[in-house]
Amino acid sequence: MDGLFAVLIYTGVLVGFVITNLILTHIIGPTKKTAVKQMPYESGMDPVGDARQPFDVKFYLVAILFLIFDVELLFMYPWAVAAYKGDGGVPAELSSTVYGVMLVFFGTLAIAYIYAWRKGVFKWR
Amino acid sequence: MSQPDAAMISSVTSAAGKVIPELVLLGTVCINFLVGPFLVTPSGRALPGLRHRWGGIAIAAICTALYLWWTGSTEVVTTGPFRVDNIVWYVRGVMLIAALLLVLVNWSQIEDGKAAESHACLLAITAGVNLVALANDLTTLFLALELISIPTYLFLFLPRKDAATQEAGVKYFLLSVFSSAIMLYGFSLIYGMAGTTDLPAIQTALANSNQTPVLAILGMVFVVAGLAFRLTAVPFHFYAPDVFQGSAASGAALLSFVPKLAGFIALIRLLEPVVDAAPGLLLADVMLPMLWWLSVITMFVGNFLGILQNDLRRMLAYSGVAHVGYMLVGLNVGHHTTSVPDGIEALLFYLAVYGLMTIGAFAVLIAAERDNKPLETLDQLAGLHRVRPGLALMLMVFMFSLAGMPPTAGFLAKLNLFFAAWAQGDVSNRWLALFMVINAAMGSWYYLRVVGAMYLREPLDEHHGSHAPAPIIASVACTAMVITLFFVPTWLWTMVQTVRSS
Repeated sequence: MDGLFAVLIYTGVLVGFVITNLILTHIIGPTKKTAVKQMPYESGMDPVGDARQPFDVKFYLVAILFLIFDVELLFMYPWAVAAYKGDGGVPAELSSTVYGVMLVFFGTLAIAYIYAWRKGVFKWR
Repeated sequence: MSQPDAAMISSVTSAAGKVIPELVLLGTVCINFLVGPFLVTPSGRALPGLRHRWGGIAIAAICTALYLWWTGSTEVVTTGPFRVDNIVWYVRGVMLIAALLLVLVNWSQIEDGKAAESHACLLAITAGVNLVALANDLTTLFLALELISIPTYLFLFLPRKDAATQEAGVKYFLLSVFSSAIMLYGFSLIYGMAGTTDLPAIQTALANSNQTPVLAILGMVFVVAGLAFRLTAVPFHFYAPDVFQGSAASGAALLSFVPKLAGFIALIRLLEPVVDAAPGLLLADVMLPMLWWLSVITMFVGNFLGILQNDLRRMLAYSGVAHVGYMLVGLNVGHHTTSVPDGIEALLFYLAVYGLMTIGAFAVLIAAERDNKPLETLDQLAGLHRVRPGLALMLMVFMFSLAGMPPTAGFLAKLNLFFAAWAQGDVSNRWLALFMVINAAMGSWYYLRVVGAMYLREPLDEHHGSHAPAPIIASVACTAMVITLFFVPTWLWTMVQTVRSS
């Protein structure tokens, strides 16, 4: 249970940090009340009015590209952690196979990247 | 963590060697995506005739895969992420030949600037279907199914830019994502019950559990529902007519066969271990009645609504729904006893024949297109035998085959399913066989209406359609095979039987 106790402390610190910060900003932060600042925050959209506003498709492309490379990074974490750990990680017989798999993965992503670049996805038009 | 044994390690290191035909296809996909955009200007303009080159490359890749499939080893391997057995061998053959036909069907439907992507999607879908058959693990199975659906969205979207195509693409995208989520939820429940994603290990876990596997039942219901979307089985069929109507004829041809093939193979793969492991348990008592109802409702709804259609592609969509109902009969009676003919054998035979006749029918519709606008209503086929007698004859063969009339392979395929259901001997399956006969009669109404329009009515105008060779080659090949399979069906039937004996 020792490991779980550390998690408990971590959770306590985390919640305490958020609450302390919320209180501190109210006490020592500057308070200039303008109309824009009093609006509920909705990721830069106007919270009042018709929700069916046209939304530029460029944002979706950027979001999708971000997701692809974000997931790529997530996929690298377990590999990087386990591949060279030795005991308890990827067994020695498999390490070259796993390395090859990662190369194929990067290669495929590189092709996708070149495709996206050539199709002008990175241009903010 | 326990040290993995040598068998597990070799199953991982040898995995790539089991999927060489698929690697060829996926390698070509990479080449298409890498080179394709460099041959097109940023505004999307390309050299005229570029699509012939990409089509040729796709054909070459598929032929290489066919050669590797034919000369490859047939050794049965049942461990590891991929399972190589005779079902894999059969599905590879059927899908690669269907892919050849689909490349020809797609040939003239795509602009030069988009041909690389379109053919790449087709090759990726082909590899995906083969990987569904190869999957020996829930994870592999899910990834293979996604390898089919994601390129399918693009394939539906690429040919045309009008609002109807976009609506069809978005509709298919949303429903396909939804069905994948349902299926994944089912997988997670099965994983929760068995503690593993390996299919043979799931079978062992089910056979060894001494209480009712409630989680597995629930999981399987979700999985069947998710796959029923791909099969367009009622009540998950509602998107099919709209999507078929909106997309280009090549997209409709793909949708009418490929997701159904993948869905049925996935169902065979999943149901066999699960139902066989616990035949007396509630699992079989729940799953088989569910499939029984799914089959009956699908047949009747598909045929009733098919009769009401005037749009050709909507009619073929409902025809597909009805045929899924017939094929579900095979799945339903496949798990009972070892009678001859076996339900799964009849289903596999039917799948191959259905692919030929439905892709062939769409190929004819493409060949009869006017000014690159797809045929819509039945009236546009009126008097086709006057202007294009060859096309009319071929479409008649496909319609007879879909209706199940001799001398076409569709007749034998239906006969096999009927005998498979009848030979089981219990009352519910004999009802199934009877419902099938009633539905075949109902279905012939709308197939014969097409034949009637072509032969008994006068042409509305003197339009000769296109003379692009690719769809005509595809439809001639399909006609030849549909008729040959009626007179010499034994070779295919022997193949199907070796599939089951493994």
